[in-house]
Amino acid sequence: METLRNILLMMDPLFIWGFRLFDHPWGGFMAGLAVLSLLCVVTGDFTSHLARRLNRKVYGKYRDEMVLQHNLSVEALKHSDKDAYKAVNRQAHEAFGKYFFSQAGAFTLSIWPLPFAMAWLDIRFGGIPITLPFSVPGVGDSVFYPFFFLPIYIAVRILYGRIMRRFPFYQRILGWSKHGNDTQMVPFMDLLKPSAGESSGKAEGHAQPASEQKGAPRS
Amino acid sequence: MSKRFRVLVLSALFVLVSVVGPLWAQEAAAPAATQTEIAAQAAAAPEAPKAAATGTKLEKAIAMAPVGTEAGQIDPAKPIGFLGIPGAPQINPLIALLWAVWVGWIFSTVGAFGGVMAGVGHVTVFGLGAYAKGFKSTAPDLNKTVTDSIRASNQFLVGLSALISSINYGKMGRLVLPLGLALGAGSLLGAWGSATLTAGKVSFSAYQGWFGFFVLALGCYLLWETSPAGQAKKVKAKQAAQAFEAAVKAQRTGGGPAPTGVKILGITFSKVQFTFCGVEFSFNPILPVVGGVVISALAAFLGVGGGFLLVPFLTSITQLPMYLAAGTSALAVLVSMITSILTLMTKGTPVDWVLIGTEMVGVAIGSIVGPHTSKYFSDKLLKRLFIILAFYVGIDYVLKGFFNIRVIEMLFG
Repeated sequence: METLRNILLMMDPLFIWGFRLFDHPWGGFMAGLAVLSLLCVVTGDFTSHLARRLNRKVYGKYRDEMVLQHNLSVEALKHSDKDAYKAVNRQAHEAFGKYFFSQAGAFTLSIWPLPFAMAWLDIRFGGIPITLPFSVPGVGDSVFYPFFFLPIYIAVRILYGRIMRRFPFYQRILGWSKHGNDTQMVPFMDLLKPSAGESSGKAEGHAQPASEQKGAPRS
Repeated sequence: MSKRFRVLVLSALFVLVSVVGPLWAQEAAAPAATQTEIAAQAAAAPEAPKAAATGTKLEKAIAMAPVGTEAGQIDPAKPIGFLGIPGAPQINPLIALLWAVWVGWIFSTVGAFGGVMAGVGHVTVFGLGAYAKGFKSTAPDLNKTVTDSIRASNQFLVGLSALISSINYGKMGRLVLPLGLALGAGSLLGAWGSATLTAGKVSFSAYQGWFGFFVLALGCYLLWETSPAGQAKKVKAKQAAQAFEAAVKAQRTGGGPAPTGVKILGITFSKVQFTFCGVEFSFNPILPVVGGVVISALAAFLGVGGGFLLVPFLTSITQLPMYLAAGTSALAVLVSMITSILTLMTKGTPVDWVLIGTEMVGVAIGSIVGPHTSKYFSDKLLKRLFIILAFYVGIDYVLKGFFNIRVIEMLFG
């Protein structure tokens, strides 16, 4: 592990420059944390999309199976068939498990730089108390670096996602790493709508395609 | 993001902040730093690396340990190892990475056993267990601090799954709000109570014994799953699902559209009964709270994820569909994971971030490779392999933890 710590130290000039953007102590500290967060988010996002692209066939297969079983369970409820519902729901849970863990790997690749950033911050700022301009109830007036870094990382990650989605090139990246067919999960809330019974007659026997589920989010 | 999810997340965050607020708060005895110190530190050239995470608690524990070259003593002349402790095991990054690949591979092919393997890695493969145990009588505080660090490290790896599902499924509004709140409250209470009561108080032997007990229970469950009774149940469910799918394809499901909506049949303290699309469901409303407390307390104590326990629990007591069970339980597990990790860290538990980062990369690689390679192994073969592993690890850890007996020594002398 000492080797990895030495590598982190070698990369010190890359990580520290953000902290020197402003002369003001707080400005420099916050800017540095924001730059470091952005570096983590961009690196993680790149590796995650690459993994999704390389695995899109496997992920797509798992996802389609999960969606199919789920939609069948909704279909079973539409027909008041509890036995079929329980059986299909069990299958849906199994398919979900496989899909879920496949996505876990891809997600982990999006946050892997975070602990390394924490390790570098620990080398730099570990154990140094930072005095707050005011006292926070339950926290006091003195905190350590994670108090600022983690919220900033989360904020940068959310902002990055929202901003990048506006760019056509990023939309193309999202499409490049997309997996599975366009069939969406049928929300159970549809079964509560008065028209569900009628529409179920029309769509009977078919898992509803994405086009019929406008606005339904993709996982 | 749905409004309900936002309200739930904000409520959970508020309660979390209230409970674990003191995290990162500076101890009164420590000198306060000025703002200039931040900049000065930032501007300064990199100093010699210090301990990976030198929490005050760890420093105190090290200071209280006897100095010397024998087992159970700290030799300051030795190179620093785990958590920056001189003479502690030097974890090879390649071994850490490869073991984490194995953990990730198990996560993506079997599911539940990944958390156990993460624990086995920290305890046995990296030698942290034996190291902590060495201080049992000479430096109990160091023994307990390293044990807490192992628990927190385990939870960082397995807790990721909760984070992922909470984000993905919460965004889609797949939460049953009252159930999510009940489970979340139970999980918060269980994880906080468990971590608060046990942080700095559990010796490595006790932790190893209970961890082994849990692995044995998991092994018994896996064994039941592969038994004729367990297999028959699975085959029956598969056949029924396939029969229904065929009927739907042939549009021969019979009958007209079912009645829509939810109709409450009765609510008492012990039973909520309702019909959904004409199908009758019932559950005990107290069970989600009690289940949340028990499962999250267990998960927090052992340093394992609670999702694999919580999802079947939810499905069996409420027959909740996958669409809703996944999201609802994920939030409860996330609350439990954050609470227990933060509570442990609040109590001064040190974390080796470089190790966590290396393992995270390994888990990701394993999770990606897993789905491609699992087709070469039958489900049955994998389960049997893990049953053997579960029984070996379980029995070994129970005997080692509670009775200080090694299985290999017992068998071969």
